[in-house]
Parts: sequence; C-alpha cells; structure tokens
Amino acid sequence: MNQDKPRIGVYVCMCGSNIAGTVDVPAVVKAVSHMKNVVVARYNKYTCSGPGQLGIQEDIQANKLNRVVVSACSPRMHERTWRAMLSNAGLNPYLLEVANLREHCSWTHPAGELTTRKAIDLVAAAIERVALHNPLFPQRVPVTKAAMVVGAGIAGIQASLDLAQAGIPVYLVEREPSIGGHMAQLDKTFPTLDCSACILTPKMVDVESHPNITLMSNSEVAKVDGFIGNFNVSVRRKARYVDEDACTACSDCVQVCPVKIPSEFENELMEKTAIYRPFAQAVPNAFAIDKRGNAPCKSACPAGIHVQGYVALIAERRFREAYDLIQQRMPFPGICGRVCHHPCESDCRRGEKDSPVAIEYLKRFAADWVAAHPDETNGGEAEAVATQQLLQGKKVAIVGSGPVGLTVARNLADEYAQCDIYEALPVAGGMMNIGIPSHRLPKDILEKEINDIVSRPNVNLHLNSPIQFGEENGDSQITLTKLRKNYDAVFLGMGAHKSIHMKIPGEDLKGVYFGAQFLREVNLSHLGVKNVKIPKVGKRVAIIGGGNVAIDSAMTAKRIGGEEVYIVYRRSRAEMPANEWEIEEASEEGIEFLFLTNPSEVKGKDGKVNSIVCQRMRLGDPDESGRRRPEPIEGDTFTLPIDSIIIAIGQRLENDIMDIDQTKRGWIAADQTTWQTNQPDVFSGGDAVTGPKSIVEVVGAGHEAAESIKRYLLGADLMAGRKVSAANNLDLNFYDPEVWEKSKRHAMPQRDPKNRNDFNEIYLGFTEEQAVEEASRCLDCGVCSECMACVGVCGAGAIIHEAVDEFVEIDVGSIIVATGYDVWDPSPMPEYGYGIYPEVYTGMEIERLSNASGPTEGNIIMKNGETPKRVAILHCIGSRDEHQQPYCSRVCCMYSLKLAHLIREKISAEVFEFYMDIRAFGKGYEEFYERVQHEGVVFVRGRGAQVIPEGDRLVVRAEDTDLGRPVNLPVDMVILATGMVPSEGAEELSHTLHVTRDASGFFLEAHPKLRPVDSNTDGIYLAGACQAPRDIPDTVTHASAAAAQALVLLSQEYVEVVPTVAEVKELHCVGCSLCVEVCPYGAPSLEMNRGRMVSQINEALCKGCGLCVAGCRGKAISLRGFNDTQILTQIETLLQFSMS
Amino acid sequence: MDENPVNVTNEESINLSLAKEKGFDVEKLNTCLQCGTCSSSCPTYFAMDKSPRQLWRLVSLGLKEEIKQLSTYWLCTACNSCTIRCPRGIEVSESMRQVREWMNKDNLDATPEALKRLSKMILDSHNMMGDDNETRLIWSSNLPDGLGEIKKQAEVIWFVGCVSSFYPMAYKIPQSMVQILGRSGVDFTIMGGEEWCCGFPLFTGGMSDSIHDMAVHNLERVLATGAKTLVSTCASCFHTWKHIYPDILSNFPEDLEVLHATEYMARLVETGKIKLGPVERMITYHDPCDLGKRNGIFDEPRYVLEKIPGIEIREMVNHKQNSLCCGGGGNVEAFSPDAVNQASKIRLEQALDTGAGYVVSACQQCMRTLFNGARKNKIRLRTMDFTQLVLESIENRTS
Repeated sequence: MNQDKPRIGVYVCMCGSNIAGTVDVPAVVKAVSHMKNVVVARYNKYTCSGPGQLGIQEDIQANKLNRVVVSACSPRMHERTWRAMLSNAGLNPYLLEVANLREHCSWTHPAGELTTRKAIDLVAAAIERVALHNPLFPQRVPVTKAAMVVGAGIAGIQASLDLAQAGIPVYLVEREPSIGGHMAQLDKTFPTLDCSACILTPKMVDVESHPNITLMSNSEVAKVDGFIGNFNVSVRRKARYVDEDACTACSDCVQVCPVKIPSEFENELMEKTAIYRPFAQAVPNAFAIDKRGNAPCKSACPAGIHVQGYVALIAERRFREAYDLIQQRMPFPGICGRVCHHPCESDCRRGEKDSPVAIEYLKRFAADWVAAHPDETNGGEAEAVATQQLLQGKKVAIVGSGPVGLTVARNLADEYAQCDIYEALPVAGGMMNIGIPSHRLPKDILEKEINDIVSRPNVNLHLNSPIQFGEENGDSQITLTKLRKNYDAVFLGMGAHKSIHMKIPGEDLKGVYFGAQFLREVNLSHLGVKNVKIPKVGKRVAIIGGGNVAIDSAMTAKRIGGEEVYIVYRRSRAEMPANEWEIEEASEEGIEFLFLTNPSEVKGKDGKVNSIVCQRMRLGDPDESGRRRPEPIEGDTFTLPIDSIIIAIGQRLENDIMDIDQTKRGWIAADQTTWQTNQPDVFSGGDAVTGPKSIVEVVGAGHEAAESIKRYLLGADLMAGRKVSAANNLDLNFYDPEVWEKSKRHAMPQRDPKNRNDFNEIYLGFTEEQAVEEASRCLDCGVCSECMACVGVCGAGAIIHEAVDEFVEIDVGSIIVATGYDVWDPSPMPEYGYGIYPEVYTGMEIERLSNASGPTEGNIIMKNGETPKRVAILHCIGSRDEHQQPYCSRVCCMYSLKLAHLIREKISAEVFEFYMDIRAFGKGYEEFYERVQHEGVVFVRGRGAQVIPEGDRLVVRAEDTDLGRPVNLPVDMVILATGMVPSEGAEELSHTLHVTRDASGFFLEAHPKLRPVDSNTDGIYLAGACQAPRDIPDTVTHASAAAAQALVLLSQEYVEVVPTVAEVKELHCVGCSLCVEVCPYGAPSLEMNRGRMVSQINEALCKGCGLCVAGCRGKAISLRGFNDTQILTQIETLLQFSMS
Repeated sequence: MDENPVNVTNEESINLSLAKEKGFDVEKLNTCLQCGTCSSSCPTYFAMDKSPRQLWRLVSLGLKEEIKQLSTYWLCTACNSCTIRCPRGIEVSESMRQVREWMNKDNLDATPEALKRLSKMILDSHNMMGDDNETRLIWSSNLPDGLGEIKKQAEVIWFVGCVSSFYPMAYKIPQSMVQILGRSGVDFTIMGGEEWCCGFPLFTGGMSDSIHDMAVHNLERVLATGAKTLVSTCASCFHTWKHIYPDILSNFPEDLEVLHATEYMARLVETGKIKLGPVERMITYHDPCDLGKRNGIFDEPRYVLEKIPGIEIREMVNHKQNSLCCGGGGNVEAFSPDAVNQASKIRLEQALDTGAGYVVSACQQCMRTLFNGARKNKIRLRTMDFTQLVLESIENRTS
C-alpha cells in the first residue's frame, strides 16, 4: 500500500472539438477541482500532444503529484502514452486512471447538460479510484530465441525462410508428408501466369537445405504450454512408416503396392497407391504409407493373417504373393480356406453395405492356385523376412501333430531349432486329418500342407509315439519326464480327442458310437491305415448334439449307409454351436433336425440299439453361456426307432496329465498369453488348453506359444510387450458405407446336394475371374493392406511397417500459425450437380487437369477423353451466400479468369463466365481481366442458378441480368468457382494454441487494421489464409509481416508481462480448482503449499480477464489494479456524485 | 423496350409503406445482389413480364405504379425454390406474397377478378369450391366398408382438406387414407361438415387478414375432439396448421402435434402398426413444395416407399431441396392456366425421363395438377398419391 497521502492531478482533454463539442470541459474541471486529494485540475486542447504531456510532467514535479487522472479518449488508444509520461516524470506508471469521455460521452450523446454531468461523474469516479491505486511492477521474462511455424504452405515457407535468414532457429511443422500446401497444386498463377511449381519449388528446397530450419513433415502440434517468449510445444510426429532419410524416392515400392485409393493431392482425379509421395517435387523427397488403422478383417483373425493384404494381392492377380503372405501367419492356407469359421468375414465392413467379401474362399483360391502352378515363384523378388538362426542348437519336443503343434514346429524350425514331433496316431495332422471328413477337406490338400512342415530339415516326425504321463515304467515308454530331460523345452499339443458320454442308460449298447471316435475311424480307413474299418451304421441314424462334430458325423453317416439321419439337439436352432452354413449344408442333404429334444435312454434288443427315448424340452432362462437353458417338459416323451446312434456332445483330454497343473474342467492350465504351464520349460496350447476350437484359433495359439518358447530358449522376458492388444484404431471417417456402390458377393460353385453321397469335396472353388472380382469388392478399410510387398522390393530397407507416432518437445519463443485453407466442397448445393454429373468440377480440380504434372499431363479433357468445346465457369459458388459462406473469398474471380485464359489458350474452347461482380482489385488484375475479355471469353452478368443434364451435355441456367432474360446454355464442362474455408483442424488447433477464431472459423487477428498478424494470444502470430482468404501475393506479404512481428519479439532479451493480473490470497484459498476450470488461458494451477493444495497464478499466462475472480467462492483471488475496493468505490461515486 | 426513365425522385417511396406491412423486410430486400438466381430458379419465369429479380429492383426504387401493372407476383407458385437458393438469404417467396398483400390492400384496385371470386367463395361457403360444405364427405359414399363412425373424441384428428373433399379426381386420397387409418387400429376421427377451408389459398393470395375466422373455427373444432395429433393429407393444409395458425392464433396449443400424412405413415410403419406388402412397380417421387422445400420433409415419404417390397424409386433430375414445382401452387391456376400447364409439362417430362411409369406425390394439389398436365400434354405417366400406394401395399400384404 502506498502510504503517501494522495496528491492528484486531473487533466480533462478537449480533443479539439471531439469532446469539447458536446461536453462543457471547463465545467467538468470546475466541478471536480474541489474534490478531496485533488491538487490541480486543468483542461487541454490535445492532452496527447507533446505540449499537453509536458504540462502534466511539469505539474507532477512542481506540485509533487503522486496520482494522475486523464479524462480523454479510450484507454485502448492512449493509456500506454500516459503511462510512459508518468514513468518519465518519475512516477510508477500504474498510478494513473483514464476516464473515457470521448467514447462514453461525446460519441454517444448529444451536446448538453446531461452529457456534461455524465462526464463529471466519470471523472469524479476516476479520482476516487486513483486514490486507491498502488504502484505495480511488471515481471520480466527471458525470451527463447527460436520460433515454430505451423503449416508449410507458401505462408509457412515464407515466414520460416524470413526468420531463418534473420538467424532464428525455426521448427517448421507440416501435417502432410510434403511441404508446399495448395500452391503446389496450382498450374499457373494470376495475373502474371508464372508456373506455380516453378516459383514455389526453389523455396521448398531452400527450406530443406537451410541450416536454421528443422523441417518436421507428417507432424502435428499436439500440445502447447507456456507463454510469450517461452512456449513449450509437444509435436506429434506421425508414423510415416518409411525412414525419411533412408528413402531414395526410387518409386520401386509404388510398382508393387496393390492398394489404390483416390489421391487427395490430385483432388481425387486419379489414384495413388497406399505407399506414396504426394507429388514429384515433394520435400522431403521421401515416400510415406497411408495407414488408417487396422482393417477389421485383420483384427478379427485369431491367427493374425494380413487379410486385407492377400485380398488386395488377389485383386491384382498376384496369387503366389497372396499365398506367401497367408503362409506367414497361416501354415495351412488350403485347409483353413476350406474349414475356417472366418471371423474376418463377420467383421468385414463390406457387410454393412451388402455382404462381406468371401475372404475364406479367396484364401482357398490362393492355395489351390499355387498347388496348380507349382513352378510360379514370387516374381523373383527378395524373400520378405530374412531368416534368422537364433535358435541354432536348441531342441524342442512337440507332443501332438495337430495344427497347433505343427505351427509351433514350423515357427521354431524356421529359426533353426530342432523340433521333434511325437504323434500317438499313425497319421499326422491331428483333428484336421482325423476329425474332418473328406467331403469337406480332401486328404491330398492336408497331406501337402502337413508335409510342407514335417519335411523341413529341422523337423522330425515320430508317428505311433504316444506319451505317457506320471511315473516311468520301462525304457521303451516316452514320458514327459524323459522329454524334459532330453529337450530344452516341451510343447504339449495333444488336443482333445475323447468323447464325452451322456451318462444315460444304454450308452454301452452295440450301435452306439461317439462323434470324434466315429469320425476318426472313417478318416483313418480313408487314409488306408491297417486294421481300421469304416464303422457300420444302420439305415436310421440319430446324432446327438449340435456342434460341428455332430454335423460332420451326420453328413458322414449319410455317406456310409444312413438313409434317415436325424440330428437330435436339446435346444433350438438359434443356439446350435455349429456354423450356420454347415447346418444349411446338412439340411440340403436331407438331414432332419429334432430340436428341443433330449435323449433320456437308449433302448435295445439283443444288446443292439433299436430306439431312443426322447424327452421334449423348452427353453428357460439364459445360463452362464448366455444361451437359454433347456428344461424338460414333464411327461412329454416319445420313442424314436433307430439303428445307430452317434453321440457328439463334446470332447475332453484323452489322458490325465499328472505332471502338469490342470483346470477344474480338466484342461491343461497354461497362461493365456504365454501358454507357459506351471513348469517353466513346458508350454501347451490348442484344444488341450482351451477345449475344442477352430484351426485358425489354435494356429493363433501356436504362434504365441512358439514366440514364448523362443523367448524362453533365449532367456528373454516372456511377457514384454505382449499384453497390449492391437487397438482397433480404424479411421471410420475415411470410409463411408454410404458412398460405396453395392456389389454382389460371388457364391462358391458347389455340387448338387442330390448327388453328394460320396466323400468327394462339396465345394468346387473359385475361378481366377471370380476370385479377382470378389477380391476387388474389398473396401481397403485400413488403406495400407500390410501385404509387405514394399518391404521386399525396397533396396534401401527404408520401410518400417511397425513404426508408431512419436512426440517431440520443443521450446520456442514465438509461434506462427500458417495452416492455410481448404477448398470448399460444393456438394451441399445439389443444384450444381457436383459429385452427381462427372463434368462438374471445382476450380482446384481444373488446376490439376491443366497442370503438366497432373492426371492428364496438362490436357484439359473430359472424363471420356474428349476435349470440351464449351465450358462454363460459375463464380461465387458457396461464397457471398448466407446459406453457405457469407464472405467473398477474394481469389475466385481472378482464378476463374486465369482458368478461362488457360482454356482459351490450350484448347480454344468457348468459355462463358457467369458472375455477379468481377473483383479484380490487385496490381495488374484489372488489366488481366481486360486481357481475358480480349481473348474471347464471354461474360454473363448473372449467377448460375442450376446445372442440369441434357443429352450428353450440361445446361447452365441463369438470368442474364443485363438483358433481364433467361439463359439456358448447353456446355460440355462446368467449373464451379468455390471459395476458401478454414483448414480442417483449425478448430482443434485453436483450442491447442488458445487462439480465437472469427465467425467463419478463420483465426482472429488482434485488430483488423492495426494488428493484422497478431493473434489475441501474445507471441502467437498469424500468416496467410488461415486468418482470412487471400491470394498468393497477399499471403506472402502477410507471412513476411508475421515473421517481422515474431522477430520484434525474438530480438528482445526479455518480455515484460503486464502486472494487472490475478493474485491469490493463499490463506483464503480452499483449493476447489474452479479457477483452473474457468480460465481460458491455463494460468491458475493447484500447487502444494504448506501441506495443502492452493491455487497459484502463472502471471505470464494471465490476461487479467477476471473470470477466476468472479468464479472464486472464497474471494481468495483478486485482480491487481482492479480489486473490489477500487471498483466499488468507482461505482459508488458514479451513482452518487452528481446527485449529491 | 421500356423507354420510361426511372423516376427516383418519387416521394411515394414504397419503402415506407411496405415497411408497415407485417413481415415485409424491405431492408433485407435492399440487400438483393441482382444476381438473378431467383429468376432462373422460378418455374413460371417464362410467363412473367418482368423477372422476379427486376421486381425487387422496382420495389427498392419504390415504383409502385409500375409494380401494379406486372403479372410477376401473381404468377408465383410459392414453391420456395428462390428462397432456398437466394445467396442473400432473402425470403423471396414470402416477399412475393407480401407484394400480393400490398396490391390487395393498398387501395390500388390491383386484385385480379379471379382472386376476388375465390375469396368470396371461400368466405361464403367455407370451401374453395363454393359447394355446400355439408357435402364434404361425398367421397366416402361408395366406400366398400363405409366411413365408420365420426367420433366426438379421438386421439388423432385427420384434416381432409378441400381438394380431396370436392374434386372427384382426388377422392382416391381420402378413400385410401380412411382405410389405412382403419386398418392401423388408430383411434381417429374427422370433422365432416364442420371442417372449413384452412385458409391457405387466401393467405397465399395475399389476403392473410381474412383467414382469421377460419383458423379460429377450425382450431375450436379440433380442440373439441381432444385430439393430441392432427394429421393432414394435404401439404398446404399441413403447412397452414404447422406454421400459419400458430403464428396468428395466440391460443394455439403447444402440445398439439401437427403431422403430414407421410410423417404419420412413417411412424405407423416404424412402430409396426401398418405392415407393407409387395408392389412391383417403378415410380418416381415428386416432392410437394409445401411439404419438402417449405418444411424439409424429404426423407419420411421415401422411408415408407423404400419399405414397400418391389418398389423401385427413380429420382428425377430435380428432387428433394432441388425439386421443381408442378405448377399447382400459389393460385396461379386462377390467373394463368397456361403457365400452370407449361410448368407441369416440364415436371412431367423430368418424371418421364426417369423411366418410371408412375409419378407419386403426397399432395392433393400436386396430384390434380400432374394428372391434368399428363392428360393435356398426352404424357404417358400415371399419377398416384402416396396414400394410394401405401394402401395397395397393405392390401397386398394381407391378401
């Protein structure tokens, strides 16, 4: 508190006649001159003038004034002037109060007594208030001598180069993989017709080579902390998936990439591959991969097959490559392509539109094709994965040769471990071979794919070699104990082969079979195994159960003599665990279903089955499996005469595994991530752990178990990095089911159900044409399909599919925002037919068509390849329009004129421009307008109202307003001159930077005339079209101005922070954090102080807006220079002075 | 060529007199860019002596006597295309109507005879045909199951509308509607002879003051039934109930739900109250201006049509917010049947181009206009109301 008695000087300004014309200034001075503490009161003609200021300074000296009231114009205008004046006179500059007579009295009221009275009140209130002022001292903060420029179009490039030339280190952050922005897309530039690329690319190269510029392409500003002179920016460097430095931009990857999507740079007029470089002169000159997250098919695949990849390769007729890609994660493509339950198809987004891509059949196709073309190689390209020899010398025993065991063996053998497989049966393949009937899965397919694995040099298969568990009894027995002694690790993959019994009377009668054993015997006899015969079934066969084994048993029974075959299931069809399509196949073959029926007794005669007693059921409440529990209907039973019964209600482990922990349900207990058992060297997976599962699921388990065994053998951490499930991060915005055309799924040709009474395969497979067409239905959900073809051809080894986003922290003193604009998409105005009629374009699209590096190499042609004879250019589409953008985008008239010129010059087509007003306001612009008029372009003054098709042309309808007559002009091509809208992401960036936007969404300048490059956040400047639509010359000027403003800041050693900011009385603060929530600038934070959380204000961030003061419930926060006493005193004076 | 110099010193500036008109936003009209979008979006521009754009110029300059001589505003079908497209956001269609109000009112003696006759007819007989209002239910006389009971109280009140009630050509609409409602099990009633013209023809004709009594009467009768929902099969009656009545009647209840039949039908289909059977047919749907461009109801009718198995909808070049007027709006029929015929011909040709055999609309006036247009211009297209098609579909389901 300033203890000196206040000695106040009051100066009332006449402002020429601005104030004096309405306020009786001498009367004001007279009225306040007798107030308490007022030592002098005077009026001046111009207080802000040199003599005016000098007079006050002399008064301060002569009368020992310690407070000053200036009653003049708005403090926004001259407060700084008066403060400097006080400083120069030796007073603290904050001992000043400004009463605003000009804006508050003179400009708002007529001359007269009332106006003068209001002026007196305002001055009196200022006098009372200034007596309570205290000296305030601004804080000084050092400035970080570096700048960040956000956005690298021409504005960002210009600003960066200016700053860098001035010696400031610049971080240039660009969202896209290349700098250049929209200017890189343009053909010629108006009015000089310079080639845009020719004048831009040298600047782009300068950016890349300038030692002071750090170029961060493919990056975004994630977070900004700090304040003027001291910003801390977190930049998200988005994964590019290509090493920018290693990439030589040779384009080999483009040749092999099978995914094609519309190119944004070419305005979707041509396609790009998933691995791409936006344009030839890109800086940095490196490729990038467009990934939009994991495709749902890939995420759904339990084996982790690159599903979208092989589908994409098949669409490109690269069948061998597709097969090899499948093989990476699925050792049994032909098998899995026949019997998979294909969760990939359930999740396929094509299914949201019509029906999923037939992925399973495509996999089968690839396998069959490779089998039929054994000499076709993978195009002679390098093997995708370099083989490692990490496990040389290690020995692994694998129990069971089912899909899980074979997967483990293959994966480990490929890394040079020796894998010995012990198989109890005389054939390899486990359930794939002995559980699935041949009509579904032919034996030759199985043999080939099993042999592929067991014939590898590091794999030894021992058939007829069952493992014993528990105590050893004799040397000839193979026991787990022995395996553990002789091998570095053991994998138990013996499956679940023993059928579960129903525990009802009569199950031991002759003619009762069990599903798994039944199928095993049929299959083994098909395989020619000695002493195994096909079981004999009678004419009437009942299969008990509703799973896949039941269906397979039923269809097998039908093929070996069953005439009337029933599937007896205790729930309804909806609850059947069998796959829907298998149920369908069985019905097609005439198998009957008895739902809600449960056998209660098997009856027989002479020890042989002759009937089953069935109990009818109904569905009760859902059980723990989520399915409704079947309950018997009391007394409702019937007898089904039957010759044979096959019980297929589930399987379990064949033996007790005494040495290893088991679950309550009898399965092997193994960790669900590592598949390690309670014995560290013993791993297990597949049906033996999880119960019966499909092949693709146990192959998935096999991959994980093999990885664990490898880590175990190498002494690595088994868990590291594994619990993280691949987040399903699919970019749903990229793909809109609405816009895709429907397409019909190809049905797989199959044999007529009537003739399917043998074990030949039911399904016949796709032809090449069918497969290619079916694969082409894929929507490329993830964009990059991860087919890995690029990895194989990249000589520089630059491709990193596993790359992840990284965050970099950067300290800068100033930030320049140069995020540019987007071209408005005219789809919301259907009357112009954009997106409906192919020959309706935006101006930017024509830039690409006219550009020699564009999709037509500079030929302005229609989609049918012909040159248009007449073109209409419609101005102001979506601009100056209350329903769209109310503003004028400033560039459209001129680019329309330029396009008209280019069209006249290149193809001599007639050009009609429909306009409301021509805005040719810049240097040389009007001259250019005249030139284009000379060139024969016809100008129609009238806004194009509609474009409608007529024959194979388009008709533009408008009123020729000069004539007052309708115009119906048939043309070949329509160009819509659409304007600029704020860049996508501007809103998010405005929140990140705390920079406000105007009603149209452009970043708001601090003052429309005097501070056009300052944002309202100190230290952050605006450059180019992010602030308002502007053309290239204006953008470059604006950008240089922004750089200059940033240099003004960066050339200072310190910044002074205004002291009229919030302060906290910590004793009163209860730590409620309301101030933290309400502050738009992030100034308050809760900090620990003397054992409790209290609010603290970062003075450099505080703007003195007072929101926290109003919000603070405990009145713990006040604003320096604006505390309650000061404000209340001022208000009280206002209310009372002239009345008293 | 108009040789008269523009007399800008005329002190009879209509800016002042027009500003007195309710809702006539002359200041907004003065922002007109003179771009001609309204003119070239207008379905009857070809018949006008000055384009709409030129009319706004005359209004801005206050040339009252010249305006009085024009046909422009009497030829407006009130289709709202100009309003939707005006870049300045001017309520162009409404401004046209305001000019009519002004011409009717300002002792200019500019009201056309046809409009005077129509007005007298509606005010005297309470319907736009001048028939005995008690004969409003004549359409029901040859219904197989009769009309059913006219209840004193019901959940839903169906406002039938004059065109359906008195033009034999449109009888199919109420005949279909009554059967659909009957089958859906909805508790509904109608007002019979107690139903008066909603007043829309007079409102559109620029006689908004004269519809007050009709509005009061209709609302009173509706409230007496205790109905919570009012359904209209006429797009114009619907617009009147939805927007004009609440504007002019201070006691209009906030909880009275006003729905067009297409909206109501979409609800009945969605809730399973009506079940649709197959109709193998290729159709095109004509958006009534009062339903679509004025009230934004584009999706509900299409939702129901798409639910009918076998229906294939082909959209016309102009559809939804871009739709073209059939010519039947704005009482233009009374001033220039030729203009109406020409407008409907243009629309019907668009329908024909789709390859569809039927043009389906959801407005009594559209159905009449398109039917007459097809007959006069010998265009081989069948016209059908939405309700007819829905009834046919329901019948195919149950049979």
